[in-house]
Order: sequence, then C-alpha cells, then structure tokens
Amino acid sequence: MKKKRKKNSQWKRELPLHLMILPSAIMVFIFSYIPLYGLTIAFKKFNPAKGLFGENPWCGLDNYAYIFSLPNIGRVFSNTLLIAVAKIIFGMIIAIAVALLLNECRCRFLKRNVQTLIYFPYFISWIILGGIMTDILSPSDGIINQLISFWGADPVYFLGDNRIFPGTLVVSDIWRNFGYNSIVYLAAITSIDPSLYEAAAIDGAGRWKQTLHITLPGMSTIIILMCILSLGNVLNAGFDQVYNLYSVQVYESGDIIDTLVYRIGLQQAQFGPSTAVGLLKSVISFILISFAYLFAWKKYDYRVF
Amino acid sequence: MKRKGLALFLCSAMALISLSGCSQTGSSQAGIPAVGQEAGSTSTETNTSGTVRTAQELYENGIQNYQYAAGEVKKYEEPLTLTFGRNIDLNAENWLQMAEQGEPIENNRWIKYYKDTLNIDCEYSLANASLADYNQELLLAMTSGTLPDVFHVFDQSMISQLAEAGVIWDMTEIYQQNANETLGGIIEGEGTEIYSTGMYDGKLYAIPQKMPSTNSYNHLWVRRDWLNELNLDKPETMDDVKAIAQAFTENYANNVGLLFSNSYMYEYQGIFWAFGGKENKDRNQWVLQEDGTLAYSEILPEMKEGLRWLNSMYEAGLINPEWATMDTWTALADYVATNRCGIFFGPHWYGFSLQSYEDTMDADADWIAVGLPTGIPGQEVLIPSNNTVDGWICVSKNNENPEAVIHMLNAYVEQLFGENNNFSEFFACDLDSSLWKATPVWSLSATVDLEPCENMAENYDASTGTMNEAGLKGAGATYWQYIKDGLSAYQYMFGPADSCFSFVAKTYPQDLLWNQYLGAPTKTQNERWSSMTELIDSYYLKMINGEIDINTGFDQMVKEWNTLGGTQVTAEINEEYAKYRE
Repeated sequence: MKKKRKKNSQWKRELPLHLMILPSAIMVFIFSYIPLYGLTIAFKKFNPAKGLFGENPWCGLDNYAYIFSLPNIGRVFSNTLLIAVAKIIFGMIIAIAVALLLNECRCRFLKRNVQTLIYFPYFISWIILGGIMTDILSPSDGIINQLISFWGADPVYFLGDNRIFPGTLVVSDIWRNFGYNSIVYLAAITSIDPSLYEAAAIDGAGRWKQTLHITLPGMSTIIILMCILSLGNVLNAGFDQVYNLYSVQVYESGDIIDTLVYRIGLQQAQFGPSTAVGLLKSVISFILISFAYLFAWKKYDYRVF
Repeated sequence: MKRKGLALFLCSAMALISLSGCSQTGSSQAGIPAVGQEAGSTSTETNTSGTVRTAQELYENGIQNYQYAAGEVKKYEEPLTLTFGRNIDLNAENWLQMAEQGEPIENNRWIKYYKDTLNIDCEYSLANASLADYNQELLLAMTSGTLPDVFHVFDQSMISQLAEAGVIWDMTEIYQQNANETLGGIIEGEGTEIYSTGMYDGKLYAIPQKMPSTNSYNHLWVRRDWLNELNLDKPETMDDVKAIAQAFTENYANNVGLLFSNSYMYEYQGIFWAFGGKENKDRNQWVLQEDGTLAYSEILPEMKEGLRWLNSMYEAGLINPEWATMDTWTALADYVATNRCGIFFGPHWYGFSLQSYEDTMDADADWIAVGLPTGIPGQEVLIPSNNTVDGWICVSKNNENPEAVIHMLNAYVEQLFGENNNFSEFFACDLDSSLWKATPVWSLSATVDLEPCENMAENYDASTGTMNEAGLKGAGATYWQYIKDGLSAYQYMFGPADSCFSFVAKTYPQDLLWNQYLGAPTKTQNERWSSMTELIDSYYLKMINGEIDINTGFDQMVKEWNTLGGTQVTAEINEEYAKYRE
C-alpha cells in the first residue's frame, strides 16, 4: 500500500519530464520511423507516377541483381572501401597527433591561433573547395605544381592521374577535417587529472613518457568511441567531395558507390535501385558498428548504453 | 548607359544559354515540309469534322483534318483557371526587371493575352529554377499525387512512367480536334516524326514544344584580329585549324591553342563531323546503315579519324593540357576571357558569353564564326541533327479541360507566327530577350533564328559594309539595332556576315543528317545507357591522350560496348524503328 503510493508520487513528480520529452519523441517517430516505409521501394519496381502508396509490383531482389550486374561494380566497391578506410585511419592518427602537439604547446597565443586556423576549412563546403582545389592543383598554372616545377620535378596531375587521385582525395579530406576532429581529442586531454602528471614527473618521467603512459591511456575511451562511430562510415567515402573533384578520367580509381548510384539512379529517376543500395549500405554499417561495439565492450569494458 | 546595357544583356544571355542548354531533342528522318505547307493543302477541308487519326497516322502524315483554321482561336464562355508546372527562375534578372516595369511573370502581356482571347487564367503552381530541381519536385508531385493541371516534362522516360500509371490524358484525339492549322504547321515544321517523341504504347501522351533544330549546330569561333595580324586566312580544313592553333600558340603569350574538354560530345561535335562522324550533342543519334538497319553513331568507324586528329593535337600540345578533367564551358571560358585562346568549337549561344568577356578581352578582340571546316578535302560536312523539342506538355487527369492547353498553344503561335501576329511585341523586348518563354506554354517556328539573319544578309552590302535599313523587318530590324548599339553577341550569332547563322543559312536544311530514332528510351537503355555512355567516354579519352592505340582500342571499345548492352539496345531500337516504319 505504502509502496504503491510512493510509486504514484514518483510518477507524478516525473510527469512533466515525460511530457517534455514527448514532442521530440513524436518528431522522431514522424520523421525517422514512418519514412522507414519508403524502404519497401528497394524491393519494388517503383514508378513514381503511381505514388508512394500506389500499386507498385514487388520484384524481390531484382533491384539488387541490377546493381550487381552493373559493369565495374566490384571496382566501385573496392574504391569506396579503400578511400573510406584510408580517410578514417589516417584522419584519426593525424587528429590525435595534432591534439598531442597542441597540448604540448606552451605559447597560448600560438596555440589558439593555430587551433582556429586548422579548424577553419571544416566550414567551407566541398562545392567551394572543389573549385579552389581544381585551381591550386592544376598541372599548368596551379600554385602547387608551380612549386613542384620550381624544384625541378615534373608537374603532377593530381585530379587526373588514376594512381594519384585517391591519395588526393584522402589528403584533401584530412586537410579539411583534422582541425575539427582534433578538438574532440583536445577536450579529452584537458579532462585528464593533472595530479597524474605531477606524480609522473616526481617519478622521473619526461614529456614523452608522460604522453605515452598518461595522456594516451587517458584518451583511450574517446579514441575507442571515435573508432566505433567511424566504422559506420566505412562505406561512405564522401559523396560531396568525390562528386566535386572527379571526372570521367578518374572513374577508374575514384568512382564510389554513392556517385555511381547518383549517376544511374537519381539522374534517371530510378528510385528502386538507389533505395536498394542505400538500404544495403545501412545494413552493412549497422553490422560493423554492432561488432565493434561488442568488441569494445568485451575487450575494454567500454559501453555507450 | 553602356554598362547598364551590358548588364541587361548578360542576364538575357544567361536566360538564353540556359534555355538553349536544356532544350531536349527528338529527331526526324524525312525531308522538311515548309512551315504551313500541310496546312495549306487542306485548307478547303477545315471545319469538317473528319475522322480522328491514330497516333501512328499522325506520326506518318501529320494532322490533316483541322477543325480550326489558321487564325482561329476558341474563347471559353466561362472563365477557366489552369495551374501550370514548368522550370522557370522566377528570380531571373530579366524577369525581375520586367516585374519592376509592372509586368511580373505571373501577370505579363502573355497571361493577359490568354485571358483576353481565351478567357483562361494561368497560375504557376510548380516552378523551380534549375531543371534538376524541377525534375525532383515533379517526381515528388507525382509520388504524392499533386500534379498541376498542365506541366512540362523534360525526360522521355518520365512520359512513359506517367502514361503507364494512367495519371495523364491520352492527347491523341484531343490534340487533333483542337489544334489549329498554324499550330500544326509549327509543330510539324521539321517533320511529322516529332510526334513519336511524345508517344507511349501507340498513343500521343505528350505534346512536343517545337524548337528550331538550328540549335544543334556546332560552329568554329576564331579571333579575326589575330588572323589578320598573322596574315592567316579563315580556316577551311582541319589542317588549317591545326596550323592556326599552332600559329596562335607560337605568337601569343600563354596561348593554349584550341579549346577542348571532356564533354567533347556536347560542344565539339564539329571536330568529328569534319571527318564524317555522325554523333550529336544529345548523344542518342542513330544512323541508317546501308543494310537498312540503324546503328549508334558513336561506335561507327568514322569517329576514328576525329579521334586521331585530336590525338595529334594533344601530342603537339595544341589543346589546353587539363582538358581531361574540365567539363564545362565555364571552366574553359577563362582562357577566352584572358586572351589565351583564339580558336574553339561551340554552339551559337556562346556568342553571349563572348560578349560578356569584353571587359577583360583585348579592346580590339574581334570574333567571327566561320563555317565548319572539313577534314577530308573536297568532302562536304554533314550536320547530324535532331528534330529539336524543348520539353513536352503533359496534362493531368485531374484537369477536366485537357483541350484548353491546345487552345493556348493555338493562341501562342497565332500571336508570334500567325497572319495577324504581334511578333515584335511578344517575342522579345528591350528588357527581356526571352519574352517568348515568359508564358506557360510555347512552341517556336523552325526558322525563327534564321529569318532575321537572312533578312539582314539580303539588305547588306558586304563590299561597303552598309545596310539598307529600309528593307529590314521584324526581328531582323530589332537585331540590327542591337548590333548598332554595340551588343556584339547579336553580331556574332545573327549578323549579316561571318556569323553563326550566316553559316546556317548556307547549309540548312540540305546538309542536315536527321536522327533516325526519336522514340522513348528502350528498356535496356533505361537500365544501361549511362554505363554504356561512360564506357565510350573513357575509351575516347584514353585514345585522345594516347594511352591506347586508336585502331585496336576502338575495336575493343565496340566489343565491350556491345556486351554491356549495345547489341540488345541496337536490336530494341531497330524493332521499334521497324514498327514505326510499317
């Protein structure tokens, strides 16, 4: 009897909180769950003129069969994986290194300015950067190639050479994002207890030993979290970047799933196949994230939920 | 004053470029009946309610039993309101300026004209600036069932989708019962085959909006001041073109020679045409072979010579080195604007672009368009062309007056091309060079661009450079005024001599080679065409920059193209073609 009343009063007390969350819950339901119905298009022969709820016949896995029958589909998948994985790994290493270096920087003025400067490119969209890149990487009058020829080497066709194009993509993506990514790690570093450093200094550890044994382990949870989150992007090689930089010349090394789907799907209003690929990508990402999470939980006892 | 005029024409140039760029094309195989010819032959039968023809007969012979004579338009007794969908930039500068002068696009002279003559009120319910956005929005309207009464479609496979879903009217009968003779003459102006572009399952579902096919021409642009400086003649052969590019690179600083980009099929067809190539910018050009079947133009061996010539230009360093990653005119135009290029191939509307770079170009820069050079001495250049369509008009089933839009088209063509026309008032005005498009529906005569040029040429004395202005009429007089006002684009495009249309006048229509297939994309084309086109692109690219040998590479390309779906598509196209031919 008493217990029940207690529960009741708790419910009453928390009711406003539940009400406060209600609008967002409804929004999530409307905008994230109801559209899931659209995924059925992946298994239909979809004619937009018949409407989303019209009588579009089911076609089983025909859309997938079509996607996998496209020429070069294997090459496109391997390009995607290669570019995305390279971006994730190198992007992370560089962001961590930059965070560590900035942390060691004594001059506050320098530290802050450098931080702002490297943070800046993140806010420029790839549409604009695409134009800038094309200009500065041009083999005839781009500034980078002028430097290269000044040193006596042959100009490099960064955006037109199949051997170099994926590298150009990875490097330019890292250049744009490392400032932003390093901020997360800098925040992680500031949360490390300073007394640990004092203790280490007393024990005779230098800066390098301190970094190795205090800073890095202190950041490890964040690093693992970022790893898990980025695994979801293994099939996202960055549509807006590639789309703004590639050309027929480098389809061989630069065409990724998203750009291919864009060309065959959206440009020709073939909603079925493009939804099918989107669904496939989501399923793969979901599986990868689940595994990584499981691994982090069992091995490092790290949990998000 | 001059600056204001320039700004004005920059924006109209934008409008014209975008309109020319997005015109879709069908094709035609027969000769071209003169405008109104068919109408004339049946004028005695007008208003007899003859039998309505099937779409197949329409395609073969055109409308014959007109129920409305030329000049006749039907006025509705009760006011009728129609909603429209079209791609239109409501914020385009020329239209904003018109709005400031009291003529907003929603209520301009065209809209008032429809109200007065037909008692029809027009509203734009779906309008978007870019074609891609418009298509997306139209697809959304399709999926959600909120299509406007009348809307434009720019993709033939979309017509099939709409027709299959049963959401648009079958216009076969409605069109024939309501079109007047003037309209029939305009739409059939370059052949009745144009109807098959809007057909699905043997019925006419979409009304093609006719545009002059002279838009598919390619021209060779050269800087005359440099030719004169170096004592060179106008190019007549492809060897001349090469020599001129060579001379320009040797004599002018940082000159790149001939402009080129990887969208070679769109802007540089002239290079392939010189050697007998038969491809067209729409990249769907089908050629009748000696055995009576159709073959796809881009895999025919005639293309090899063009590739070889380009390869030699590339090896000699006579084309811009980054051509392989450049794909738009905007990327290339910088070379022209900064005096680093004096010779290039391109469509006529680049004239507006040239005019817009006057500020950065040398003060004495003087461009001319010369006739297309030949690559094989003695052989005339043929111009593969399409029976050009600027989108199709579809009528939603929700609209209870599907015939109303045909009456609007009747009224439109009467106003521009009928006996009692108001061409000079309604085609263009000083604020808006594309006034003819400031209406929910349109359709232009095949010779609308050619006539002013011919009119000026007739009254022009080349030896003295004087114009007999009394002989000028209509657009000819207006354009001559523009030329005198210093709007060089009009000289470049329509001028009496050394202009794009003076070349067109010499070759149209006898040197045109019409596309032989104009129906909707076939099943395999819908699934594979973009991959197949990409295959050709990447092979061409490698052949031009010398990565692979042209002889073996071309054969390899044809083989791969065929396995990728080429054999299948060719069979499907030939099957459709045979059906139409019966």
